[in-house]
Amino acid sequence: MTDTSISSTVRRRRKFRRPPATLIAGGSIVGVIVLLAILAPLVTSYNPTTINLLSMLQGPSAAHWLGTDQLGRDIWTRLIYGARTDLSVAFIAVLAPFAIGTVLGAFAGYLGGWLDALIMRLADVVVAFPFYVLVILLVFLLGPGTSSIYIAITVVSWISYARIVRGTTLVAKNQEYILAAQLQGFSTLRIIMRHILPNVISQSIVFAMSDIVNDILAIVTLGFLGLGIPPPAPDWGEMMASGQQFLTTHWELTTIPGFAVVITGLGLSLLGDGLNELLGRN
Amino acid sequence: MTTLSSSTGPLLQVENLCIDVTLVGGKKTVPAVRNVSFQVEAGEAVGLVGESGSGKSLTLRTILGILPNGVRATSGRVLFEGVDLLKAPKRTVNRLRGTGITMIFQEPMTSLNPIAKVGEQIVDAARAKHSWSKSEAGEHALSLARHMGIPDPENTLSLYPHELSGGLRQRVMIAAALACQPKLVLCDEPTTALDVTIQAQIIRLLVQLKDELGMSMLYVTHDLAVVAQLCQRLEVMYAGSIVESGLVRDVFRQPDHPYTQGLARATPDVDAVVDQLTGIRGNAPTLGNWPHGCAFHPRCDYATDECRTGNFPLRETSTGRASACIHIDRLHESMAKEGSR
Amino acid sequence: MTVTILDFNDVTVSFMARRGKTKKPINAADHVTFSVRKGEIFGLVGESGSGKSTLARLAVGLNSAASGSVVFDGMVLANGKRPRPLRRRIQMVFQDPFSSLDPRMTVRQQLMEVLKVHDAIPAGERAAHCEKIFAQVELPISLLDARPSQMSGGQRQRVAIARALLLSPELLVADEPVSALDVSVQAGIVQLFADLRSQLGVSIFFIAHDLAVVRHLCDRVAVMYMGKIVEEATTDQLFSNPRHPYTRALLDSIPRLLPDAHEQVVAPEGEPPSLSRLPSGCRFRSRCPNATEKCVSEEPSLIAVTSTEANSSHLASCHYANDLEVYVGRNRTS
Repeated sequence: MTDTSISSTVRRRRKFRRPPATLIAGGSIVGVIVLLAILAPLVTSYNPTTINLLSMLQGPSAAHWLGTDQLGRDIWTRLIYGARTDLSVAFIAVLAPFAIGTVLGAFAGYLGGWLDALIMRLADVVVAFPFYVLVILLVFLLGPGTSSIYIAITVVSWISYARIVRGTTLVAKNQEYILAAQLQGFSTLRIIMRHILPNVISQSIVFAMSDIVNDILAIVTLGFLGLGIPPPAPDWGEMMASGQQFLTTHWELTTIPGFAVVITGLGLSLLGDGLNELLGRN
Repeated sequence: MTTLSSSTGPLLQVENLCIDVTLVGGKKTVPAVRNVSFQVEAGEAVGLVGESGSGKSLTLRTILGILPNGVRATSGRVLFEGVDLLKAPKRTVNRLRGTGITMIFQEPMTSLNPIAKVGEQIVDAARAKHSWSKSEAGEHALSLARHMGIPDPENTLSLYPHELSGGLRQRVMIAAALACQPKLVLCDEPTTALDVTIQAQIIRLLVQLKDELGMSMLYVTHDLAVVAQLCQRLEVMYAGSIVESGLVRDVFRQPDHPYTQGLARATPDVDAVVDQLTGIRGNAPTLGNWPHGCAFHPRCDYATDECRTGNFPLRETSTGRASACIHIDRLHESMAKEGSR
Repeated sequence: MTVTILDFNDVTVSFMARRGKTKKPINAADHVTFSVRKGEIFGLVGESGSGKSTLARLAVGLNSAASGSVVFDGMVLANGKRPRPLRRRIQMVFQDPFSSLDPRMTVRQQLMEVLKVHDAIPAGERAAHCEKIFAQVELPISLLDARPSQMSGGQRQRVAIARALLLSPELLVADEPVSALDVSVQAGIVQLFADLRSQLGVSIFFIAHDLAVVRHLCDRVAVMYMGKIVEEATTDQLFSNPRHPYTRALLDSIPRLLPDAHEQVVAPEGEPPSLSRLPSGCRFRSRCPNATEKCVSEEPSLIAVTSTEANSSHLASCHYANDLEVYVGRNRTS
């Protein structure tokens, strides 16, 4: 009878409460990277694709902050433009699985029955294979190209969202406000879209944050294997791959983009954690 | 540290206990219990009464040191047989659990181990403190079960908690709690989740055990009528403080605090001929939003400007009774005018 | 001829219950018959396993009756999905004020949504209608734009009641609406139900486990035990002259605020039987102090309690309903 949980006895006031540290840290890192990516032409005057065979493999200097690669292209420039390419593809790639998976998961959880069974069996099949293996396989089959990447990632990732949302929906649908909505004769569509989804979507969003990291890694891996975003667009994976032959002499060609991947992944993970904490507070 | 009980001083003495709660998000800390003092004598049952948010459960849990994360006792003393449990080393407190102090919870489903037979749980409780063999402890468990009115103990004790009804589970929990014959039993609303006929059985059992074993009880509840059946004295809590204290029969015949009066009036009386139910206007303040001065004043019919600021500690009104209210005379006047209940 | 708004005619609701390895059907409500009259507040009381919640859900269409019929305003209610106009006329208030409102929408949004879906009130008038209903449940208009998490339990329950009143229902089914509230807040909600009946004439089917609340609110009461009605009477009759041993046991079990010093705590013996293994004859016989051989062999049915009042409708399901000694109860004075 008595509600003894502490958090629910506090009336929410419009007071500013410091966001979680992880959110600030992650947000800053990702923020800086995104800002650099957007402002690329302002940050660097070089063209990432222009080949200049006269200044190949130069070390860091005032003209080239991080040096040049084997085709004379400025590494810093390629890094920033690579961020543009990889991040934008990753963000776009996460949207379709998020949307499709969330909606299907909500319907499956709410309606149960054959839809639920179908989705769960599909999930079992997809989950049996490692994520990267499937994505690489699909891109290989579809032929390299940005649209193949989108299709492959969507086909493989939507399942995770569906499972998460199905789980939270199963809990949400037993709440009495859902029962009240049913009793009022609200249509199933209205109940799912307006009452279930807003209450379960936060978990999905948090997962999307960590999924972007997976997607970036997948894109970079594909680039490394030559199946990624087609040249001449700069891509961290491709940079790492082509820099391999110079590992002993100019290790920075491979290491620097690798480092960029790590930092970006870290930032996104922290951001996801911070979001999780923030949404958990509510 | 001798263990002679009941010779000198009360069994349990809580002095100026303050408990703070750190709110979700980790940024703000608010008081949940302020300067609470009371005592329990040997063989006495004391009721700790209040509604949600009064701090009664936290006060109880502080005694055994089982506060949730983010909740801390910041000052005050909790003396059990003269030993301050808040400052004593963990070993000392652990030694007291079972033989000195035990606790009975509201929801037996979550406080009993779901994958152990109930008989085993009683046996484990007994053997934790006494060096009995399994068969000796088993015998003790059986006789305890019979004493608790558990039907067909040999078979019932070999069942799992989910196979028993709520009332039976509660009896098992009581048996496990009493397996070591503690001196003080802390009860956290043990009958709130039970049907009223089963509640009556459990209350009868507790009264009987208290008389037979001479144990003391500190009984937390929101139900005034249950306190009336079970306890000799009561402490009424509101917004983290005790607002009234005294013998049960005195307090209910004539409350010395407007909140106690309001609570008594709001409790629907099944024998009453009164038509209207009167509640207390307004809402109970939530943690961190306690009004200044007397926390009850926004809802009080007798409040004056004096009530809006300052502190209102308990003051003795007559032998054995205390109240935090400064307008007791007006309260009694208006009660006299209405006629007694 | 008293006009009834809701009739349960020999209704049985059964569920499959698992007992060990086998699945057995159990009757949560077993051949139940009673009626709620128009404009009255009817209390249905029982402990867990009595079947009272089952009947509440049946009234709003959340359950199906395995046999018997439920009649609303003369119209037989079929099992299954109900048309919207019917849903308007029967509304429900739930027990838990914390989970019966959507935590993410403001109160206004939730109320307006109901009006929008039912389209019973023209769009331009909806806001005013919400405010009128809000005033009826005695909530300040400012709370319309608040979220449920910003409100207390009592306030949320009033919002839930407001939501139920939006479409001017003829019958309110209230499933333990005050059980989850603090006692100081309970009184206000109980009084609100009484006021709504007198002001709006709405009939109220009030399910509760607390007999004391029922005494203060209801006109007539039925007591259920293990799926059956054991007693039905006006409130006055039930409390002054209970004629079923279970009703008496229930009344005796309730703790009083001012017990006499020498009074023992009174409690009935034994546990309620499991619904899947009911005793033969009367279901209460295993706990009844007056049980005889007849109680073991023959299940009693509701019989009329002899009364000096004309048109008395006091029924009790006990072979000895009219032979029990006068009920003194625990109350010496009043």
